[in-house]
Amino acid sequence: MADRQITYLTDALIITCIVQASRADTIVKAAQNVGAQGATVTYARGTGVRERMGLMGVTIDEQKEMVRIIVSEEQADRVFEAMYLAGDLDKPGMGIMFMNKLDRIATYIPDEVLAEANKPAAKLKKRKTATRRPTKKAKK
Amino acid sequence: MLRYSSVLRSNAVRHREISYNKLTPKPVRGKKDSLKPQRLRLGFEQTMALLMPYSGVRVLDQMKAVIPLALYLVLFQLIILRQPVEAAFLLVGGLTAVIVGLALFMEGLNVGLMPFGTLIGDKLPRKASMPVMLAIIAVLGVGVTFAEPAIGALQAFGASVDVTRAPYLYEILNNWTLPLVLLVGAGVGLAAVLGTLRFVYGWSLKPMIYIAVGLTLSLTLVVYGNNDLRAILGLAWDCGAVTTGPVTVPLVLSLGIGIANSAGQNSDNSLSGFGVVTLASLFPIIAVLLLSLYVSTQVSAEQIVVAAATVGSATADAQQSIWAQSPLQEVVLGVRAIAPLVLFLMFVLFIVLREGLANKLFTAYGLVLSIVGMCVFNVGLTYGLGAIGAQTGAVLPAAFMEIAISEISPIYTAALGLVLVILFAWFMGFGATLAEPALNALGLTVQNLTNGAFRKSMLMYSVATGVAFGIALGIAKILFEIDLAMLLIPLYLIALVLTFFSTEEFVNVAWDSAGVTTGPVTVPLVLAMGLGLGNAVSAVEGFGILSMASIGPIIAVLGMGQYIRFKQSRALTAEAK
Repeated sequence: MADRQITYLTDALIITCIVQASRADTIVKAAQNVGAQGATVTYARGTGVRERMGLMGVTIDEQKEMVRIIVSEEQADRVFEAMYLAGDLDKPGMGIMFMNKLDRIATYIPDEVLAEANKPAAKLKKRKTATRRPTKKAKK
Repeated sequence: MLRYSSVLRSNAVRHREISYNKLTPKPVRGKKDSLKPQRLRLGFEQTMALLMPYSGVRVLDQMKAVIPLALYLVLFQLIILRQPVEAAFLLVGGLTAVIVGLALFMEGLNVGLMPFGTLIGDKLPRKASMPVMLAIIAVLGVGVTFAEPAIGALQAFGASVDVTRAPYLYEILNNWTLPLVLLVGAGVGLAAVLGTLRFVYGWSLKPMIYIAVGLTLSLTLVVYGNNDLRAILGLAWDCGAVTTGPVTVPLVLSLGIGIANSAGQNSDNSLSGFGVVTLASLFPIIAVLLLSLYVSTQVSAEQIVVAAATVGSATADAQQSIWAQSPLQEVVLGVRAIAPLVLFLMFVLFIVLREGLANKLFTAYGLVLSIVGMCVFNVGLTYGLGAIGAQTGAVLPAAFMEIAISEISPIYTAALGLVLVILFAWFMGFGATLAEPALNALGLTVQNLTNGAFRKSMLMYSVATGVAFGIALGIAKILFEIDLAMLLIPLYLIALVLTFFSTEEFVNVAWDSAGVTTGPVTVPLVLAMGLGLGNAVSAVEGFGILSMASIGPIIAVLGMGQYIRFKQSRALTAEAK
């Protein structure tokens, strides 16, 4: 299998957003509208603020949905904001979200996309070898 | 260099950064639980921000079910029948009560009653023997029947029956209401027991249907043979549709599935959840028919008429106690509906199982909510759904015959008027069924079960069409005074034949779809309309529409299943060639 190889994608982040059940779809749609390529939704249950509000806890659905979206560094802030707004996370009890840097991603990449990316003035950076931790891009 | 995303970021949403360190609790010397999360104090604004989306969604759900249907009735009355809507403000108030009451009740059901169901279903099989479990399920069947919102509708309409023409119907609805509901509940309980046994042993539903339907039909024939009893049939068959509502189905299912899971039987087909609903809509019919036969041996028709006359004059004179007056009466009914079920569930959980509840505060809140919701819903039933249904039903005949309340009647020629009325019924059935949320859920389940062969939309439309034809037939039954038995017996025979030729999956889905279609909004509305219409055209009784609405979808779905199989087999043979 000498001709098999892995292409690592770098400069990627993952956004995780935990919201009340049945609210994930709007969030995924909002993210896709601003360029997210896909999303993984899982069901989840946890504890948090709900258990600390006494009776008012009933207003928050115990069942949660967890949306995970891998984004490129360029689009990260845009998608993050879109999801935040679509999920009404600025209102109490709606959920929480966070973003992590990813070391690398590997998946199937069509040849033409690969060729496009490898052109000298490529927008996307792709390396054939494993990279070290992504060089810290100074946030200003 | 300025990154575009940074520009966007600074423009789109104002943001600031704050260290999370500042928000997490710091250890305090000498205080052990200084790190434990403290109880939150919520300000008014935060409370509102939490409450608004929470209650908004739930009220909206019920509005979707009630408003289009009510609007349809009102518009039909205004435009086609050209009859002003009476007591419009009271109607709007009543409908609001229905919406609010249902929203409260459903939320109370989910938060308060369901945890009991799941917990008991989970723990019971480990601590109790099979006979004890079955006994508990049987009693539960009675309890949930009392708690079913639509059962109140049956009792509420009893007074409108003409005693001289349908003596036994009058007698049962007025003096035998408690045994009536108890027996209907017993029917549901028996269905739940058999359904559970079916879960555990993986029995086929078909023979059960043959036996149950056969028994029901032969009893129907017996009752039909008795002239005084004949009018009972409509009530009996309608009871079946009433029992399978939003309380019975989930609660009985959650118990049954819990037992099936722990009984070790690997019930690999997810269809095992079906069937209870079918039986729960057939057994009550048998129960009511048996009750009517029993009543007929106890009192004669003449005695009832005489008794009713004396009672009628007595109540007119007597000062009614404050509890018997609306709206307090509805509150009493609401508490009486929920309390037995709750007490029984508590008894099982605390005394039999010696288990505690995960969150007592929430459960208490849910229980209070369900009782309040039931009371509000009952008030709405009287002033909203019942009133609007009765009103429309009473005015409907104006389309084709002369009646007192409409000055311009008959508005249309007899033939056109009749067609209009029946079309009205058809579209009402179609629309109301499509709006039923339970049907959507059933559709999804079926689509998954059949690997997409039976699409969700196909099921929804075939069920809705079935209900539409059923309700239209039911209205026609009242208009033309067709005997219900003459319609039911052939239709059920057709359904039996189709059942014989259908696969187990379709049989399960089809027979259950009948119970699904009759929710707490449709039932009172259709009942009230039928009774109003029946009075207006002076038919003997206005029951029976619901029973027609139950058999309609069964035939429709079974027929659809046959059609799909036919198409698939033809595609296969074409491929083979």
